[in-house]
Amino acid sequence: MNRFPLIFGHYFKRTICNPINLLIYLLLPMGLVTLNMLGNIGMFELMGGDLAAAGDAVAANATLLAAVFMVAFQFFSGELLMENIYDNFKEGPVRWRLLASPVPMRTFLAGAVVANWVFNLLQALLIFTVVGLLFDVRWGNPLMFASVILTVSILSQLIGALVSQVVPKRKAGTVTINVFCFGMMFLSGFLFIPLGDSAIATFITSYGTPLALAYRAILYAGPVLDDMGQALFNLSILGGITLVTAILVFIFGRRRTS
Amino acid sequence: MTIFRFALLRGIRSPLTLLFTYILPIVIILIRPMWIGEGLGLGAGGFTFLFMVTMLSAYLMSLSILTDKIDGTVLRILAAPIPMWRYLAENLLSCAVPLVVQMAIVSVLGHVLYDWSLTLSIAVFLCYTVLTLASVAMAFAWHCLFKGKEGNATGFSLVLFLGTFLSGLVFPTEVFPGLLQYVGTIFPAYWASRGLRDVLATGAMSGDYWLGIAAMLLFAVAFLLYGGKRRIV
Repeated sequence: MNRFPLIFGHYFKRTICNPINLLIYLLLPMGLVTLNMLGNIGMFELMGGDLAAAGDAVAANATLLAAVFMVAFQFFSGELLMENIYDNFKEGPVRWRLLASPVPMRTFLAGAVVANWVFNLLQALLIFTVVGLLFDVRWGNPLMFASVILTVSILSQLIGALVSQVVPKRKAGTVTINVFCFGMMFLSGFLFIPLGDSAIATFITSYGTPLALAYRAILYAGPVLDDMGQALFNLSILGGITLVTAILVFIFGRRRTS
Repeated sequence: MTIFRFALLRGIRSPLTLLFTYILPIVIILIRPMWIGEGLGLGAGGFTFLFMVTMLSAYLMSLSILTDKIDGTVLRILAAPIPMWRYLAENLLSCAVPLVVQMAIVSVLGHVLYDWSLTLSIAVFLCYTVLTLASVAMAFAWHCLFKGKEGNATGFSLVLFLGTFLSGLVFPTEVFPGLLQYVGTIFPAYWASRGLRDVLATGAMSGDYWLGIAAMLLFAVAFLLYGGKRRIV
């Protein structure tokens, strides 16, 4: 009998019903995106700018912010899967009960992975809907946008799985994934610390991290940067990174049988 | 001051606390582009980042009080001939003192490296010192709300990130529409940023600055009273 739907439902309900998850992974990105956009629009008006005349520039700024926050929080959400793996499959008493059950471990893992992935996509959908309604955000080509978000959401799950396999303890895993995500934001120039205008800094902020590749792919696919060829190039690099990460997860995952 | 010494050493032993309290403030002041030029918020971003690091450090340093509550150390303290107020006071002092020392170093380096006037250096030191006291008190009151670590860090990071925007650290609060301009007044950081913005604009510690200092001190007293009244066991 196929237990996958039951296991998926359990992990999805557990993710959705946890108020902390809703606060951090749904409310916080909404709040940050909204406040950032309101702040930018307000600053523009405060400095004497004409919103009506500068519609395209304001929309471009709004799209940039929305894209960056959407992609960044996709990566942060990989921590959910990592925590599920540590709690149920690596540490604590649940692991032994699962091993004693007649359901293969891979079914439990698949249920957890898919449940967290669906939550990731819900998060993206929420941000997409709310900022689209409140602000003039121009996402561009819908197929390219969906492809980028799908790739990033899969990559974030793989990163969460990889960290849980490589790092022995949950606390260290949490620190690792946070350092990774904040590190990407820093290298993309979104953490108050400017990296400068040198050729190396420009390359790093434009192509040096999956975050930069993803948000710029979204911008290239729309009227903001308008270069579909570059968008496809970024997406293909992201796809390559996802493939390599998947292989690493497979290799490290097979190291242990329990 | 045994508890003070012990709590200080415990803070140093934690890698995250070591990073945020002892290393990051010095690193930030040495990054020149963060202090030269203009940005959306306070100056070029250095002051904003330093605010966030101060609040986060205060939280991390005071986490030991929650840890003592969870693992039962507080019960052993209660059985010892040390009054509870002394235990709390020395713990909170161990959270505040390293940060105050860091802010003194930051002010001196700012004066030396970026030609801050004496007034600005003193204003920055005083502002961040009082913010440290208010943040430590706020973190202490925050820890008193929770029985365990679950949700504690998550909730605080939510408060910290949203509070950073609403307090005027990234954008002046005037840019937000309607009532959103005034939501930030519930955070000590709002008063700190208001005071510092006044000093940066006028070059003197005028009424707005001292109002900010007074507000932060009131916040500190209020949070300490709240945390002190709640049962720590």
